[in-house]
Amino acid sequence: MDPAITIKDLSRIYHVRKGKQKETQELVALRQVNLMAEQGEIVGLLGPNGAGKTTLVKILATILLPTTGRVEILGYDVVRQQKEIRRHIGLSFGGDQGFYTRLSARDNLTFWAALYQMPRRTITQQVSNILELMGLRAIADQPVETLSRGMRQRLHLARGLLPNPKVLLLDEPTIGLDPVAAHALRKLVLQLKSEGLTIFLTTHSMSEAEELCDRIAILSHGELRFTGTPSAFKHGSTNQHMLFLRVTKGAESKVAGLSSTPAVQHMNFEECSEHWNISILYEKAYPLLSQILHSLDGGDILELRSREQTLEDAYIQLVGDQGLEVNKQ
Amino acid sequence: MKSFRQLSLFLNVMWAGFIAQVKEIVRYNSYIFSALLFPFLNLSLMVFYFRYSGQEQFLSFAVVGSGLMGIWLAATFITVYILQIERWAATLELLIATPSSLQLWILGRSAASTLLSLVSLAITLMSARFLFGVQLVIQEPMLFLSMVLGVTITLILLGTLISSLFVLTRSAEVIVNALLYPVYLLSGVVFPIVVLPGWLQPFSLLMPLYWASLGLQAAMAGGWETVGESLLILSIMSAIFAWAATWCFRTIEQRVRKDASLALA
Repeated sequence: MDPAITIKDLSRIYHVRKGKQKETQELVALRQVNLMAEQGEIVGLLGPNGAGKTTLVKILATILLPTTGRVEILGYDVVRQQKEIRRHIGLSFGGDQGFYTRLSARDNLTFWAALYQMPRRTITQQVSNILELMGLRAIADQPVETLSRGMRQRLHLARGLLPNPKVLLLDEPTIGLDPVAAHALRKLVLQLKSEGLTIFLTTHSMSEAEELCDRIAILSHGELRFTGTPSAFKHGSTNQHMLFLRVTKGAESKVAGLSSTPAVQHMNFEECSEHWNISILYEKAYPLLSQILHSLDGGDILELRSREQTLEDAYIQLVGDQGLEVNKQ
Repeated sequence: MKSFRQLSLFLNVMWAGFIAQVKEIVRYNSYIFSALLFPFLNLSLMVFYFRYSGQEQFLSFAVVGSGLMGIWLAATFITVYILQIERWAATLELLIATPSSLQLWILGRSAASTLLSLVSLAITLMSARFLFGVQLVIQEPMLFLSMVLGVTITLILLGTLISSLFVLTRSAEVIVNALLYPVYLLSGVVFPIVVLPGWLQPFSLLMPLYWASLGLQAAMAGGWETVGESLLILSIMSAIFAWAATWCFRTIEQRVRKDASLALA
Protein backbone atom coordinates (compact mmCIF):
# COMPACT_ATOMS: atom_id res chain seq x y z
CA MET A 1 0.00 0.00 0.00
CA ASP A 2 1.37 3.42 -1.03
CA PRO A 3 1.86 5.96 1.74
CA ALA A 4 -0.91 8.56 1.81
CA ILE A 5 1.59 11.42 1.80
CA THR A 6 5.24 11.38 0.80
CA ILE A 7 7.38 14.50 1.07
CA LYS A 8 10.98 14.30 -0.10
CA ASP A 9 13.53 17.13 0.16
CA LEU A 10 10.80 19.73 -0.14
CA SER A 11 11.81 23.39 -0.23
CA ARG A 12 9.63 26.38 -0.91
CA ILE A 13 11.01 29.86 -1.47
CA TYR A 14 8.90 33.01 -1.75
CA HIS A 15 10.11 36.09 -3.60
CA VAL A 16 8.93 39.00 -1.50
CA ARG A 17 8.96 42.57 -2.77
CA LYS A 18 10.98 45.07 -0.74
CA GLY A 19 8.50 47.91 -0.22
CA LYS A 20 7.73 49.69 -3.51
CA GLN A 21 10.99 48.69 -5.14
CA LYS A 22 11.05 46.15 -7.93
CA GLU A 23 13.77 44.24 -6.11
CA THR A 24 12.69 41.09 -4.36
CA GLN A 25 14.22 39.18 -1.54
CA GLU A 26 14.09 35.44 -1.02
CA LEU A 27 12.15 34.09 1.91
CA VAL A 28 12.73 30.42 2.61
CA ALA A 29 9.45 29.06 3.96
CA LEU A 30 10.43 25.37 3.83
CA ARG A 31 13.90 23.88 3.65
CA GLN A 32 14.63 20.23 2.76
CA VAL A 33 11.56 18.81 4.49
CA ASN A 34 11.13 15.01 4.51
CA LEU A 35 7.96 13.53 5.91
CA MET A 36 5.60 10.64 5.34
CA ALA A 37 2.06 9.77 6.40
CA GLU A 38 0.79 6.21 6.13
CA GLN A 39 -2.80 5.60 5.10
CA GLY A 40 -5.21 5.80 8.03
CA GLU A 41 -2.75 7.76 10.15
CA ILE A 42 -3.16 11.16 11.83
CA VAL A 43 -0.04 13.26 11.45
CA GLY A 44 0.19 16.56 13.30
CA LEU A 45 2.37 19.42 12.17
CA LEU A 46 3.45 21.74 14.95
CA GLY A 47 5.52 24.87 14.95
CA PRO A 48 5.42 28.54 15.87
CA ASN A 49 3.75 31.17 13.69
CA GLY A 50 5.64 31.63 10.45
CA ALA A 51 7.34 28.23 10.70
CA GLY A 52 5.93 27.13 7.31
CA LYS A 53 2.99 24.96 8.40
CA THR A 54 0.36 26.61 6.21
CA THR A 55 2.76 26.68 3.26
CA LEU A 56 3.21 22.93 3.61
CA VAL A 57 -0.56 22.35 3.79
CA LYS A 58 -1.08 24.55 0.71
CA ILE A 59 1.50 22.52 -1.22
CA LEU A 60 -0.29 19.32 -0.22
CA ALA A 61 -3.57 20.90 -1.30
CA THR A 62 -2.03 21.74 -4.72
CA ILE A 63 -2.56 25.47 -4.16
CA LEU A 64 1.19 26.13 -4.17
CA LEU A 65 4.02 24.51 -6.09
CA PRO A 66 7.17 23.29 -4.39
CA THR A 67 10.32 25.16 -5.37
CA THR A 68 12.36 21.95 -5.20
CA GLY A 69 11.75 18.43 -3.98
CA ARG A 70 8.95 15.96 -4.53
CA VAL A 71 5.54 15.65 -2.91
CA GLU A 72 3.10 12.83 -3.60
CA ILE A 73 -0.39 12.18 -2.31
CA LEU A 74 -1.65 8.61 -2.77
CA GLY A 75 1.14 8.18 -5.30
CA TYR A 76 0.15 11.24 -7.37
CA ASP A 77 2.63 14.05 -7.89
CA VAL A 78 1.43 17.51 -6.74
CA VAL A 79 3.11 19.27 -9.67
CA ARG A 80 1.94 17.14 -12.59
CA GLN A 81 -1.10 15.24 -11.30
CA GLN A 82 -2.94 17.90 -9.35
CA LYS A 83 -6.33 17.04 -10.86
CA GLU A 84 -6.14 13.44 -9.56
CA ILE A 85 -5.05 14.65 -6.13
CA ARG A 86 -7.90 17.16 -5.93
CA ARG A 87 -10.40 14.32 -6.38
CA HIS A 88 -9.09 12.55 -3.29
CA ILE A 89 -8.41 15.30 -0.78
CA GLY A 90 -10.61 17.30 1.54
CA LEU A 91 -9.42 20.69 2.70
CA SER A 92 -10.35 22.73 5.75
CA PHE A 93 -8.46 25.95 6.42
CA GLY A 94 -10.49 27.11 9.38
CA GLY A 95 -11.00 30.72 10.42
CA ASP A 96 -13.82 33.12 9.58
CA GLN A 97 -13.23 33.23 5.83
CA GLY A 98 -13.59 30.76 2.99
CA PHE A 99 -17.34 31.00 2.39
CA TYR A 100 -19.89 33.01 0.44
CA THR A 101 -21.03 34.68 3.61
CA ARG A 102 -24.29 36.12 2.33
CA LEU A 103 -25.44 32.70 1.27
CA SER A 104 -26.67 29.95 3.57
CA ALA A 105 -24.56 27.09 4.90
CA ARG A 106 -26.59 24.69 2.74
CA ASP A 107 -26.08 26.80 -0.41
CA ASN A 108 -22.36 26.99 0.25
CA LEU A 109 -22.04 23.23 0.61
CA THR A 110 -24.21 22.66 -2.46
CA PHE A 111 -21.91 24.83 -4.58
CA TRP A 112 -18.78 23.16 -3.23
CA ALA A 113 -20.34 19.75 -3.94
CA ALA A 114 -20.75 20.74 -7.61
CA LEU A 115 -17.15 21.96 -7.68
CA TYR A 116 -16.06 18.61 -6.28
CA GLN A 117 -17.90 17.09 -9.27
CA MET A 118 -20.41 15.12 -7.28
CA PRO A 119 -23.30 13.82 -9.41
CA ARG A 120 -26.17 16.29 -9.25
CA ARG A 121 -28.75 13.74 -8.08
CA THR A 122 -26.69 12.89 -4.99
CA ILE A 123 -25.73 16.44 -3.95
CA THR A 124 -28.87 17.34 -1.99
CA GLN A 125 -28.76 14.12 0.04
CA GLN A 126 -25.01 14.27 0.65
CA VAL A 127 -25.21 17.90 1.79
CA SER A 128 -28.04 17.05 4.20
CA ASN A 129 -26.07 14.09 5.57
CA ILE A 130 -22.97 16.21 6.18
CA LEU A 131 -25.00 18.99 7.82
CA GLU A 132 -26.54 16.36 10.10
CA LEU A 133 -23.17 14.75 10.90
CA MET A 134 -21.65 18.11 11.81
CA GLY A 135 -24.63 19.19 13.92
CA LEU A 136 -25.41 22.04 11.54
CA ARG A 137 -28.92 21.06 10.52
CA ALA A 138 -30.59 23.73 12.65
CA ILE A 139 -28.63 26.57 11.07
CA ALA A 140 -28.41 25.09 7.57
CA ASP A 141 -30.51 27.80 5.95
CA GLN A 142 -29.01 30.79 7.78
CA PRO A 143 -26.53 33.05 5.97
CA VAL A 144 -22.96 32.14 6.92
CA GLU A 145 -22.33 35.75 8.05
CA THR A 146 -24.70 35.17 10.97
CA LEU A 147 -22.92 32.02 12.20
CA SER A 148 -20.63 31.88 15.24
CA ARG A 149 -16.96 31.03 14.94
CA GLY A 150 -17.61 27.51 16.16
CA MET A 151 -20.34 26.94 13.60
CA ARG A 152 -18.14 28.24 10.81
CA GLN A 153 -15.36 25.94 11.94
CA ARG A 154 -17.74 22.99 11.71
CA LEU A 155 -18.83 24.21 8.29
CA HIS A 156 -15.18 24.24 7.19
CA LEU A 157 -14.85 20.65 8.26
CA ALA A 158 -18.16 19.80 6.58
CA ARG A 159 -16.80 21.14 3.31
CA GLY A 160 -13.61 19.15 3.78
CA LEU A 161 -15.61 15.95 4.24
CA LEU A 162 -18.08 16.62 1.45
CA PRO A 163 -16.17 14.89 -1.38
CA ASN A 164 -15.61 11.71 0.73
CA PRO A 165 -11.85 12.28 0.68
CA LYS A 166 -9.15 9.70 1.33
CA VAL A 167 -6.85 12.37 2.76
CA LEU A 168 -8.11 15.25 4.88
CA LEU A 169 -5.97 18.36 5.35
CA LEU A 170 -6.88 20.44 8.40
CA ASP A 171 -5.19 23.76 9.12
CA GLU A 172 -5.68 24.61 12.81
CA PRO A 173 -9.11 22.98 13.03
CA THR A 174 -9.90 23.99 16.61
CA ILE A 175 -8.57 27.54 16.54
CA GLY A 176 -10.97 29.93 18.24
CA LEU A 177 -13.28 27.20 19.48
CA ASP A 178 -14.52 26.98 23.05
CA PRO A 179 -13.32 23.87 24.97
CA VAL A 180 -16.59 21.97 24.49
CA ALA A 181 -16.69 22.60 20.74
CA ALA A 182 -12.98 21.78 20.42
CA HIS A 183 -13.52 18.52 22.30
CA ALA A 184 -16.43 17.60 20.02
CA LEU A 185 -14.35 18.35 16.94
CA ARG A 186 -11.43 16.25 18.20
CA LYS A 187 -13.84 13.39 18.87
CA LEU A 188 -15.07 13.64 15.30
CA VAL A 189 -11.51 13.63 13.94
CA LEU A 190 -10.81 10.41 15.86
CA GLN A 191 -14.01 8.89 14.51
CA LEU A 192 -12.93 9.78 10.96
CA LYS A 193 -9.58 8.14 11.57
CA SER A 194 -11.32 4.97 12.73
CA GLU A 195 -13.10 4.94 9.38
CA GLY A 196 -9.74 4.81 7.62
CA LEU A 197 -9.25 8.45 6.68
CA THR A 198 -5.70 9.82 6.60
CA ILE A 199 -5.60 13.16 8.38
CA PHE A 200 -2.84 15.75 8.19
CA LEU A 201 -3.40 18.61 10.60
CA THR A 202 -1.57 21.66 11.85
CA THR A 203 -2.05 22.83 15.40
CA HIS A 204 -0.56 24.99 18.12
CA SER A 205 -2.11 22.87 20.84
CA MET A 206 0.17 20.29 22.42
CA SER A 207 -2.70 18.53 24.14
CA GLU A 208 -4.53 18.30 20.83
CA ALA A 209 -1.46 16.84 19.15
CA GLU A 210 -1.02 14.35 21.99
CA GLU A 211 -4.67 13.32 21.95
CA LEU A 212 -5.12 13.00 18.19
CA CYS A 213 -1.86 12.32 16.43
CA ASP A 214 -0.16 8.99 15.74
CA ARG A 215 2.90 10.98 14.79
CA ILE A 216 3.94 14.59 15.07
CA ALA A 217 6.36 16.69 13.06
CA ILE A 218 7.80 19.91 14.40
CA LEU A 219 8.71 22.70 12.02
CA SER A 220 10.88 25.62 12.98
CA HIS A 221 12.21 28.26 10.57
CA GLY A 222 11.00 26.04 7.72
CA GLU A 223 13.09 23.08 8.87
CA LEU A 224 11.80 19.84 10.29
CA ARG A 225 13.22 19.50 13.78
CA PHE A 226 11.47 16.34 14.92
CA THR A 227 9.37 13.55 13.45
CA GLY A 228 7.98 10.69 15.50
CA THR A 229 5.29 9.73 17.95
CA PRO A 230 4.27 12.19 20.68
CA SER A 231 5.49 9.69 23.29
CA ALA A 232 8.90 9.41 21.57
CA PHE A 233 9.12 13.18 21.70
CA LYS A 234 8.43 13.11 25.43
CA HIS A 235 10.53 9.98 25.97
CA GLY A 236 13.54 11.79 24.57
CA SER A 237 13.10 14.21 27.42
CA THR A 238 12.33 11.94 30.41
CA ASN A 239 15.80 12.39 31.87
CA GLN A 240 15.08 16.09 32.13
CA HIS A 241 13.48 18.10 34.88
CA MET A 242 11.91 21.52 35.03
CA LEU A 243 12.47 23.89 37.93
CA PHE A 244 10.47 27.06 38.52
CA LEU A 245 11.76 29.79 40.76
CA ARG A 246 10.21 33.06 41.86
CA VAL A 247 12.90 35.28 43.37
CA THR A 248 13.15 38.84 44.66
CA LYS A 249 14.56 41.57 42.45
CA GLY A 250 18.35 41.46 42.38
CA ALA A 251 18.51 37.76 43.23
CA GLU A 252 18.14 36.69 39.60
CA SER A 253 21.76 37.60 38.91
CA LYS A 254 22.87 35.01 41.48
CA VAL A 255 21.47 32.15 39.38
CA ALA A 256 22.15 33.63 35.92
CA GLY A 257 25.61 32.08 35.93
CA LEU A 258 24.09 28.58 35.95
CA SER A 259 23.20 28.95 32.27
CA SER A 260 26.79 28.06 31.38
CA THR A 261 26.52 24.75 33.25
CA PRO A 262 26.47 21.89 30.66
CA ALA A 263 23.64 20.09 32.48
CA VAL A 264 21.37 23.15 32.10
CA GLN A 265 19.52 22.85 28.78
CA HIS A 266 17.51 26.00 28.87
CA MET A 267 16.89 28.99 31.14
CA ASN A 268 14.13 31.55 30.81
CA PHE A 269 13.89 34.81 32.78
CA GLU A 270 10.71 36.82 33.07
CA GLU A 271 10.71 40.16 34.88
CA CYS A 272 7.57 41.03 36.81
CA SER A 273 6.84 44.22 38.74
CA GLU A 274 8.24 43.01 42.11
CA HIS A 275 10.01 39.76 41.33
CA TRP A 276 11.56 37.53 38.65
CA ASN A 277 10.17 34.25 37.34
CA ILE A 278 12.89 31.85 36.26
CA SER A 279 12.37 28.48 34.60
CA ILE A 280 15.25 26.06 34.20
CA LEU A 281 15.32 22.84 32.20
CA TYR A 282 18.15 20.57 33.31
CA GLU A 283 19.36 16.98 33.43
CA LYS A 284 17.64 15.17 36.25
CA ALA A 285 20.84 13.64 37.59
CA TYR A 286 22.52 16.98 38.11
CA PRO A 287 22.28 18.39 41.67
CA LEU A 288 20.95 21.76 40.50
CA LEU A 289 18.62 22.31 43.42
CA SER A 290 21.37 22.17 46.05
CA GLN A 291 23.49 24.47 43.92
CA ILE A 292 20.67 27.02 43.72
CA LEU A 293 19.97 26.84 47.41
CA HIS A 294 23.66 27.38 48.02
CA SER A 295 23.76 30.45 45.76
CA LEU A 296 20.65 32.18 47.09
CA ASP A 297 19.82 33.50 50.53
CA GLY A 298 16.68 32.14 52.14
CA GLY A 299 14.88 35.49 51.74
CA ASP A 300 15.51 35.57 48.01
CA ILE A 301 13.22 32.65 47.22
CA LEU A 302 9.51 33.44 47.04
CA GLU A 303 8.48 30.17 45.40
CA LEU A 304 10.18 27.00 44.22
CA ARG A 305 8.59 24.17 42.22
CA SER A 306 9.97 21.17 40.39
CA ARG A 307 8.32 18.73 37.94
CA GLU A 308 8.90 16.31 35.02
CA GLN A 309 9.18 17.89 31.59
CA THR A 310 5.95 17.92 29.57
CA LEU A 311 5.46 17.77 25.81
CA GLU A 312 4.95 21.52 25.85
CA ASP A 313 8.25 22.09 27.69
CA ALA A 314 10.02 19.93 25.13
CA TYR A 315 8.37 21.86 22.32
CA ILE A 316 9.31 25.25 23.79
CA GLN A 317 12.83 24.02 24.29
CA LEU A 318 13.01 22.93 20.66
CA VAL A 319 11.60 26.07 19.07
CA GLY A 320 12.32 28.46 21.90
CA ASP A 321 14.47 30.71 19.77
CA GLN A 322 11.46 31.81 17.72
CA GLY A 323 10.35 34.67 19.89
CA LEU A 324 8.56 32.54 22.44
CA GLU A 325 10.97 33.49 25.18
CA VAL A 326 10.28 36.69 27.03
CA ASN A 327 13.04 38.82 28.51
CA LYS A 328 15.74 36.19 28.20
CA GLN A 329 18.96 37.31 29.83
CA MET B 1 -20.55 7.83 -22.45
CA LYS B 2 -17.47 9.17 -20.70
CA SER B 3 -17.60 12.41 -22.66
CA PHE B 4 -21.31 12.75 -21.84
CA ARG B 5 -20.51 12.38 -18.14
CA GLN B 6 -17.71 14.92 -18.51
CA LEU B 7 -20.06 17.38 -20.21
CA SER B 8 -22.64 16.86 -17.50
CA LEU B 9 -20.04 17.61 -14.80
CA PHE B 10 -18.92 20.76 -16.68
CA LEU B 11 -22.51 21.96 -16.94
CA ASN B 12 -23.06 21.22 -13.23
CA VAL B 13 -20.14 23.45 -12.27
CA MET B 14 -21.30 26.23 -14.59
CA TRP B 15 -24.83 25.97 -13.31
CA ALA B 16 -23.62 26.10 -9.69
CA GLY B 17 -21.61 29.23 -10.54
CA PHE B 18 -24.66 30.70 -12.27
CA ILE B 19 -26.94 30.10 -9.29
CA ALA B 20 -24.31 31.34 -6.82
CA GLN B 21 -24.03 34.56 -8.78
CA VAL B 22 -27.78 35.07 -9.02
CA LYS B 23 -28.14 34.56 -5.26
CA GLU B 24 -25.26 36.94 -4.50
CA ILE B 25 -26.59 39.60 -6.89
CA VAL B 26 -29.98 39.45 -5.22
CA ARG B 27 -28.28 40.18 -1.91
CA TYR B 28 -25.93 42.96 -3.16
CA ASN B 29 -27.76 46.29 -3.29
CA SER B 30 -24.95 47.84 -5.33
CA TYR B 31 -26.01 45.67 -8.24
CA ILE B 32 -29.22 47.66 -8.55
CA PHE B 33 -27.14 50.76 -9.23
CA SER B 34 -24.71 49.05 -11.58
CA ALA B 35 -27.18 47.16 -13.68
CA LEU B 36 -30.36 49.17 -13.51
CA LEU B 37 -29.78 52.78 -12.47
CA PHE B 38 -26.53 53.35 -14.37
CA PRO B 39 -27.96 52.57 -17.85
CA PHE B 40 -31.05 54.63 -17.01
CA LEU B 41 -28.91 57.65 -16.04
CA ASN B 42 -26.89 57.22 -19.22
CA LEU B 43 -30.05 57.09 -21.27
CA SER B 44 -31.39 60.28 -19.66
CA LEU B 45 -28.12 62.10 -20.30
CA MET B 46 -27.92 61.02 -23.94
CA VAL B 47 -31.60 61.63 -24.72
CA PHE B 48 -31.40 65.17 -23.29
CA TYR B 49 -28.17 65.82 -25.14
CA PHE B 50 -29.38 64.66 -28.57
CA ARG B 51 -32.88 66.10 -28.20
CA TYR B 52 -31.83 69.57 -27.09
CA SER B 53 -28.96 69.81 -29.53
CA GLY B 54 -31.43 69.25 -32.36
CA GLN B 55 -30.08 65.82 -33.34
CA GLU B 56 -33.22 63.73 -32.87
CA GLN B 57 -32.11 61.36 -35.62
CA PHE B 58 -29.53 59.94 -33.16
CA LEU B 59 -32.05 59.12 -30.42
CA SER B 60 -32.39 55.44 -31.30
CA PHE B 61 -28.59 55.36 -31.32
CA ALA B 62 -28.60 56.73 -27.77
CA VAL B 63 -31.13 54.16 -26.59
CA VAL B 64 -29.23 51.16 -27.98
CA GLY B 65 -25.94 52.63 -26.73
CA SER B 66 -27.26 53.01 -23.17
CA GLY B 67 -28.52 49.43 -23.15
CA LEU B 68 -25.18 48.15 -24.39
CA MET B 69 -23.35 50.18 -21.77
CA GLY B 70 -25.39 48.39 -19.11
CA ILE B 71 -24.57 44.96 -20.54
CA TRP B 72 -20.88 45.86 -20.85
CA LEU B 73 -20.81 47.08 -17.24
CA ALA B 74 -22.28 43.79 -16.04
CA ALA B 75 -20.06 41.64 -18.24
CA THR B 76 -16.81 43.29 -17.19
CA PHE B 77 -17.11 45.27 -13.98
CA ILE B 78 -19.35 42.85 -12.14
CA THR B 79 -17.48 39.78 -13.38
CA VAL B 80 -14.15 41.25 -12.32
CA TYR B 81 -15.67 42.27 -9.02
CA ILE B 82 -16.73 38.65 -8.53
CA LEU B 83 -13.11 37.64 -8.58
CA GLN B 84 -12.15 40.28 -6.04
CA ILE B 85 -14.95 39.10 -3.78
CA GLU B 86 -13.61 35.55 -4.13
CA ARG B 87 -10.17 36.82 -3.16
CA TRP B 88 -11.44 38.84 -0.15
CA ALA B 89 -13.54 35.90 1.01
CA ALA B 90 -10.48 33.61 0.71
CA THR B 91 -12.44 31.26 -1.54
CA LEU B 92 -10.16 31.70 -4.55
CA GLU B 93 -7.53 29.33 -3.14
CA LEU B 94 -10.21 26.82 -2.22
CA LEU B 95 -11.64 26.98 -5.73
CA ILE B 96 -8.23 26.21 -7.19
CA ALA B 97 -7.99 23.19 -4.90
CA THR B 98 -11.12 21.54 -6.31
CA PRO B 99 -11.00 19.16 -9.29
CA SER B 100 -13.14 21.58 -11.35
CA SER B 101 -11.84 24.29 -13.60
CA LEU B 102 -11.99 27.78 -12.11
CA GLN B 103 -12.86 28.95 -15.62
CA LEU B 104 -16.16 27.04 -15.64
CA TRP B 105 -17.15 28.48 -12.29
CA ILE B 106 -16.33 32.02 -13.43
CA LEU B 107 -18.05 31.40 -16.76
CA GLY B 108 -21.23 30.42 -14.89
CA ARG B 109 -21.02 33.52 -12.71
CA SER B 110 -20.23 35.75 -15.69
CA ALA B 111 -23.20 34.32 -17.59
CA ALA B 112 -25.52 35.09 -14.68
CA SER B 113 -24.46 38.71 -14.34
CA THR B 114 -24.52 39.31 -18.11
CA LEU B 115 -27.90 37.63 -18.62
CA LEU B 116 -29.37 39.57 -15.71
CA SER B 117 -28.07 42.75 -17.32
CA LEU B 118 -30.49 42.11 -20.18
CA VAL B 119 -33.05 43.39 -17.71
CA SER B 120 -31.27 46.74 -17.94
CA LEU B 121 -31.56 46.62 -21.73
CA ALA B 122 -35.29 46.00 -21.41
CA ILE B 123 -35.63 48.81 -18.86
CA THR B 124 -33.68 51.15 -21.14
CA LEU B 125 -35.92 50.37 -24.13
CA MET B 126 -39.10 50.76 -22.06
CA SER B 127 -37.94 54.00 -20.42
CA ALA B 128 -37.01 55.40 -23.81
CA ARG B 129 -40.43 54.58 -25.18
CA PHE B 130 -42.69 55.43 -22.27
CA LEU B 131 -40.70 58.00 -20.26
CA PHE B 132 -38.90 59.95 -22.95
CA GLY B 133 -41.30 59.31 -25.83
CA VAL B 134 -38.61 58.03 -28.19
CA GLN B 135 -40.27 56.24 -31.13
CA LEU B 136 -38.32 53.00 -31.50
CA VAL B 137 -39.14 50.95 -34.54
CA ILE B 138 -37.63 47.48 -34.76
CA GLN B 139 -38.09 46.38 -38.35
CA GLU B 140 -36.74 42.87 -37.79
CA PRO B 141 -37.52 41.71 -34.23
CA MET B 142 -36.02 38.25 -34.81
CA LEU B 143 -32.81 39.76 -36.12
CA PHE B 144 -32.75 42.12 -33.16
CA LEU B 145 -33.13 39.21 -30.72
CA SER B 146 -30.43 37.23 -32.56
CA MET B 147 -28.11 40.19 -32.19
CA VAL B 148 -28.91 40.50 -28.47
CA LEU B 149 -28.12 36.79 -28.05
CA GLY B 150 -24.90 37.11 -30.04
CA VAL B 151 -23.76 40.15 -28.03
CA THR B 152 -24.60 38.44 -24.76
CA ILE B 153 -22.58 35.33 -25.57
CA THR B 154 -19.61 37.39 -26.77
CA LEU B 155 -19.62 39.56 -23.66
CA ILE B 156 -19.98 36.56 -21.31
CA LEU B 157 -16.85 35.06 -22.89
CA LEU B 158 -15.03 38.39 -22.87
CA GLY B 159 -15.93 38.88 -19.20
CA THR B 160 -14.51 35.43 -18.44
CA LEU B 161 -11.32 36.25 -20.34
CA ILE B 162 -10.86 39.57 -18.55
CA SER B 163 -11.50 37.97 -15.17
CA SER B 164 -8.76 35.41 -15.87
CA LEU B 165 -6.26 38.25 -16.15
CA PHE B 166 -7.44 39.71 -12.89
CA VAL B 167 -6.64 36.50 -11.03
CA LEU B 168 -3.12 37.94 -11.15
CA THR B 169 -3.82 41.43 -9.85
CA ARG B 170 -5.41 42.82 -6.72
CA SER B 171 -6.28 46.22 -8.25
CA ALA B 172 -8.82 44.91 -10.72
CA GLU B 173 -11.62 47.40 -10.05
CA VAL B 174 -9.31 50.37 -10.53
CA ILE B 175 -8.23 49.12 -13.95
CA VAL B 176 -11.77 48.24 -15.03
CA ASN B 177 -13.07 51.62 -13.81
CA ALA B 178 -10.38 53.38 -15.79
CA LEU B 179 -11.24 51.39 -18.92
CA LEU B 180 -15.01 51.81 -18.72
CA TYR B 181 -15.45 55.14 -20.52
CA PRO B 182 -12.59 54.79 -23.04
CA VAL B 183 -14.26 51.55 -24.19
CA TYR B 184 -17.61 53.31 -24.52
CA LEU B 185 -16.07 56.13 -26.55
CA LEU B 186 -14.00 53.82 -28.73
CA SER B 187 -16.92 51.46 -29.37
CA GLY B 188 -19.14 54.18 -30.74
CA VAL B 189 -21.96 53.57 -28.29
CA VAL B 190 -21.98 57.19 -27.09
CA PHE B 191 -21.57 58.76 -30.53
CA PRO B 192 -20.64 57.41 -33.99
CA ILE B 193 -16.97 56.56 -34.41
CA VAL B 194 -16.69 58.86 -37.43
CA VAL B 195 -16.22 61.74 -34.99
CA LEU B 196 -13.11 60.05 -33.55
CA PRO B 197 -9.64 60.95 -34.92
CA GLY B 198 -8.81 58.84 -37.96
CA TRP B 199 -5.97 56.97 -36.29
CA LEU B 200 -8.29 55.78 -33.50
CA GLN B 201 -11.03 54.40 -35.74
CA PRO B 202 -9.32 51.08 -36.64
CA PHE B 203 -9.21 50.27 -32.91
CA SER B 204 -13.00 50.56 -32.79
CA LEU B 205 -13.22 47.60 -35.15
CA LEU B 206 -11.64 45.45 -32.42
CA MET B 207 -14.37 46.33 -29.92
CA PRO B 208 -17.26 43.84 -29.64
CA LEU B 209 -19.51 46.68 -28.51
CA TYR B 210 -18.92 48.44 -31.84
CA TRP B 211 -20.21 45.43 -33.79
CA ALA B 212 -23.00 44.97 -31.29
CA SER B 213 -24.15 48.55 -31.73
CA LEU B 214 -23.82 48.35 -35.51
CA GLY B 215 -25.78 45.08 -35.69
CA LEU B 216 -28.56 46.22 -33.35
CA GLN B 217 -28.99 49.49 -35.26
CA ALA B 218 -29.10 47.51 -38.51
CA ALA B 219 -31.69 45.09 -37.08
CA MET B 220 -33.85 48.05 -36.12
CA ALA B 221 -33.53 49.40 -39.65
CA GLY B 222 -33.99 45.97 -41.26
CA GLY B 223 -30.47 45.63 -42.68
CA TRP B 224 -29.90 41.89 -43.02
CA GLU B 225 -26.41 42.16 -44.45
CA THR B 226 -24.99 44.33 -41.68
CA VAL B 227 -26.59 42.12 -39.04
CA GLY B 228 -25.08 39.03 -40.69
CA GLU B 229 -21.66 40.67 -40.84
CA SER B 230 -21.88 41.78 -37.21
CA LEU B 231 -22.98 38.33 -36.04
CA LEU B 232 -20.16 36.68 -37.98
CA ILE B 233 -17.55 38.98 -36.46
CA LEU B 234 -19.02 38.54 -32.97
CA SER B 235 -18.90 34.74 -33.46
CA ILE B 236 -15.23 34.92 -34.46
CA MET B 237 -14.53 37.15 -31.46
CA SER B 238 -16.40 34.70 -29.18
CA ALA B 239 -14.29 31.79 -30.44
CA ILE B 240 -11.10 33.79 -29.84
CA PHE B 241 -12.23 34.89 -26.35
CA ALA B 242 -13.16 31.30 -25.42
CA TRP B 243 -9.84 29.93 -26.61
CA ALA B 244 -7.87 32.76 -24.98
CA ALA B 245 -9.75 32.39 -21.67
CA THR B 246 -9.04 28.64 -21.58
CA TRP B 247 -5.36 29.24 -22.30
CA CYS B 248 -5.13 32.07 -19.75
CA PHE B 249 -6.80 30.15 -16.94
CA ARG B 250 -4.52 27.17 -17.52
CA THR B 251 -1.39 29.30 -17.67
CA ILE B 252 -2.39 31.57 -14.82
CA GLU B 253 -3.21 28.68 -12.50
CA GLN B 254 0.35 27.40 -12.83
CA ARG B 255 1.69 30.93 -12.32
CA VAL B 256 -0.30 31.67 -9.17
CA ARG B 257 0.70 28.30 -7.74
CA LYS B 258 4.30 29.32 -8.31
CA ASP B 259 3.99 32.94 -7.13
CA ALA B 260 1.55 32.36 -4.26
CA SER B 261 -0.48 35.36 -5.39
CA LEU B 262 -3.98 34.02 -4.82
CA ALA B 263 -4.37 34.91 -1.18
CA LEU B 264 -4.56 38.44 0.19
CA ALA B 265 -2.23 37.76 3.08
